[in-house]
Amino acid sequence: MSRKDIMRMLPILFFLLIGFEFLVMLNFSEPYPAVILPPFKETSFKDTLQASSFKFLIYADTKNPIEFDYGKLIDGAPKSTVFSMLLSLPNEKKYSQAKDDKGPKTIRNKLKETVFNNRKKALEKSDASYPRTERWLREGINDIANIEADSIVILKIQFRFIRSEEIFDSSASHIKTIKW
Amino acid sequence: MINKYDYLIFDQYNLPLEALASFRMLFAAFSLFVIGYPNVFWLNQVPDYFYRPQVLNVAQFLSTGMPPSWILYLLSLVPALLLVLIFFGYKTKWAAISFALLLIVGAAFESSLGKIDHGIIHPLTAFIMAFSGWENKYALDSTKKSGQKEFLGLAPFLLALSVSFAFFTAGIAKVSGGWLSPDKLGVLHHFFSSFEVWDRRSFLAPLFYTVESYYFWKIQDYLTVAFECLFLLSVFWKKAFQTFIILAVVFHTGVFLIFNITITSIFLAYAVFLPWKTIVKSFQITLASRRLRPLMHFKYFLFSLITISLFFGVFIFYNQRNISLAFLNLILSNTSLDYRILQTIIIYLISWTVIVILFKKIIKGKLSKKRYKP
Repeated sequence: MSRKDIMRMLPILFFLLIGFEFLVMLNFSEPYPAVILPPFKETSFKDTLQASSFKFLIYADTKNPIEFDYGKLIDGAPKSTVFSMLLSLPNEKKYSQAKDDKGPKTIRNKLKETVFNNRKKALEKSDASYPRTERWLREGINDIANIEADSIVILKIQFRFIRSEEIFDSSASHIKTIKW
Repeated sequence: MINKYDYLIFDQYNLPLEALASFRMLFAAFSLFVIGYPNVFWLNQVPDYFYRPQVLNVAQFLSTGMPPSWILYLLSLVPALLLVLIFFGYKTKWAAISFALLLIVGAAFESSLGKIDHGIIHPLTAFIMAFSGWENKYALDSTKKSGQKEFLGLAPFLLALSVSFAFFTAGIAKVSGGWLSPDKLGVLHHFFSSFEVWDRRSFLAPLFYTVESYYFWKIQDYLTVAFECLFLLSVFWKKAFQTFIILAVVFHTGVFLIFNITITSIFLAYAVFLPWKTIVKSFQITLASRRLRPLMHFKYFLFSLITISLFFGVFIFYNQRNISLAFLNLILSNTSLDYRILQTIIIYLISWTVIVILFKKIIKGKLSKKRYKP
């Protein structure tokens, strides 16, 4: 096989590689915190425009919730990244997201186990560090809002604009509560 | 059949060595001064819990936790130094490959926090063009190499494939989201969300907020999907691909003016597909480069390397912020000016000026050819 033949194969291999990755991405159900908001799925209808945002409320002794600017939690970090980080926090302390997905002992599963061994370790390490993260979060909220919070409630605010009637309204739905 | 395929991958996107070298310097200079690359040093403030790499994230193969501060610092600083190497053409291939890999690794660690960004085209341009032969002219160590002239069109073709595929994936996502359905309004949905929720109300946004026509918005859905999906087909004909690049500039300008979304680094990839043969001829690049040759000296290279490592090194150390690392942004970061907007205006103005000048040149060239036909 000449050098030219190898070069000829490059675009085909390249296209197969990016195509394969695209197909895998389409079919992967990612149970971990990758918050890939489907930007094209929640499209507005002809007569009703819709948009949604998220609100973070902090509670101290479950009284008087205060709206919390989560963007200030990490100085200089992109707000949208901090948003997905907080959304990945578990509802309860003991909840573990590192599921043991070992299947029957097939070659495929063995290969998966070897390839993703590091990832498993990373997720275990991440779970183990949760108490420290919880402390970090409490201290962070205390610095920003000057309050000893005991929980965060994340709400989704849905805005609607009915064009024919010119009605603008909004509704809130509960996404999750992070308690400590 | 093989001849046609060979023509497509080796010849159609072929660029003269002068053009490749000019693009190399343009890529490095614009990356360093205007466009920049992400600062990942701020990741050292993130608690371990949030490091949860996704299945296809390369970070999981490198580390079981967020890397220590000094590695994050180097991941932010070293790309600037590699850009200096690329500009002067010193160990260019390795510098470009390392630049791309460092940017990908930095982005992988950032993506492990959950939010996935789409800045892959910038490192991909450096990675692919590293194999284009762009180091064979106007470079500190170019005299040592003979230059591989046979496959000069392959790297630009692969880049064309990547850019068009990126657009295609965006188009397919919109199709599966129902943008072609007459009942749904995709562009208007995004516009409403951007205006009401994200408060993006500058430039033409207030004007478009008053447009109620269903057909006006629906046509934009169809045009967007058609443009993004057909981009992939245009790769087979260079002229069609170049037309799509101009349409992409129109598209980004529209998105910026209406949605206030800033996209800049992809313009470096677009620059590969400028009509370089016309540029080299019309603007006497060879002559200009001869005049610039004294600058390609080792002492200037060392001076730039030291200055940039000091400037960027100190800035990154004291600013653990997610700021695109370029001279322009570093200078403006502590002012009230929005560096992202200014950066976008600069890039878009340059792009439009280049398009207009080249368009005039090409039309003029065609007219004069016709006039002197025997």
